[in-house]
Amino acid sequence: MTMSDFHPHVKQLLDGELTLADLPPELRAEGEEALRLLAAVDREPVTFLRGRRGRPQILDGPQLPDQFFYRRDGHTAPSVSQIVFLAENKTTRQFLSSPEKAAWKKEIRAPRPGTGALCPG
Amino acid sequence: MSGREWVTDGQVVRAILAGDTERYAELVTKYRDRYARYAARMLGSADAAEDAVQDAFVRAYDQLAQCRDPDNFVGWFFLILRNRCFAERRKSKDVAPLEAAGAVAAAEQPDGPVEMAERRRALQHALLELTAEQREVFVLKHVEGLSYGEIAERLNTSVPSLKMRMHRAYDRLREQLRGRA
Repeated sequence: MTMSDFHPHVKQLLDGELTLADLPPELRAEGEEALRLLAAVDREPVTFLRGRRGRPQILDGPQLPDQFFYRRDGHTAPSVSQIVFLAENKTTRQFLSSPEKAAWKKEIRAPRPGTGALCPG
Repeated sequence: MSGREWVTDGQVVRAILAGDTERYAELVTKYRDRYARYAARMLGSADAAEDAVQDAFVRAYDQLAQCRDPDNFVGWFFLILRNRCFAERRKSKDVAPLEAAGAVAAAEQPDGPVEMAERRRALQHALLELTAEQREVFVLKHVEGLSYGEIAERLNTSVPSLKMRMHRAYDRLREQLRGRA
């Protein structure tokens, strides 16, 4: 145990097995420090940018479900990488390691057409 | 209430395997946001997390026939995502993790008190200094709110080994945060 290690009882506090009141007085300060650490845990939900991306316009047939491919609002031109990929009817595994995937990622992060601004996605 | 809300994951998986592939969207919709936070905290970047979740869904779709227990699709999917996150961390551990962590914290707490935002940022930085295994148990317990028993079941490991991992994580976090104070 080093100087920076929490006391085992304080670890039990962090685990929720003890409360601050259960700790002896000499460990209260350390316990409060530990609780401040937990209070800083960010539990906010993370939502992907689904709302700012629409559904693809060109997918049909038995290929990937359309949710695999995001398209930005207002970006109506077909995705070249999608067309190439789907036309060749590759499997998803092939897609994951294909140049098309890199092109697709680049596409969805490209500046919004006509604005010069980066799309927030 | 839609007519499909009562449908189990197992029924959806079996329908997809029978050819109704569009129904995979139901699983994506149901679980994408649930695992977004896990991936974001593991990778320190919402952008990397989105890629990881997306890739995990593609891989899961590709390997769906190998899902032995369709009713536990989510448990099987979690392991795919976990592997993806671990692989990503190994690949990008040298790539500016601190900036990435700061970006996540700042992006998600734009209106919070400055001090709390700073503490969150510091903790997120410190989390990225943990091993992936330590960080994972911390995220599952203190971010996702799972018990040690639930984590053990999910990761197919024992509670004592998880506690050991977690207790090392506590010490390492304290050391990291003191170093930043």
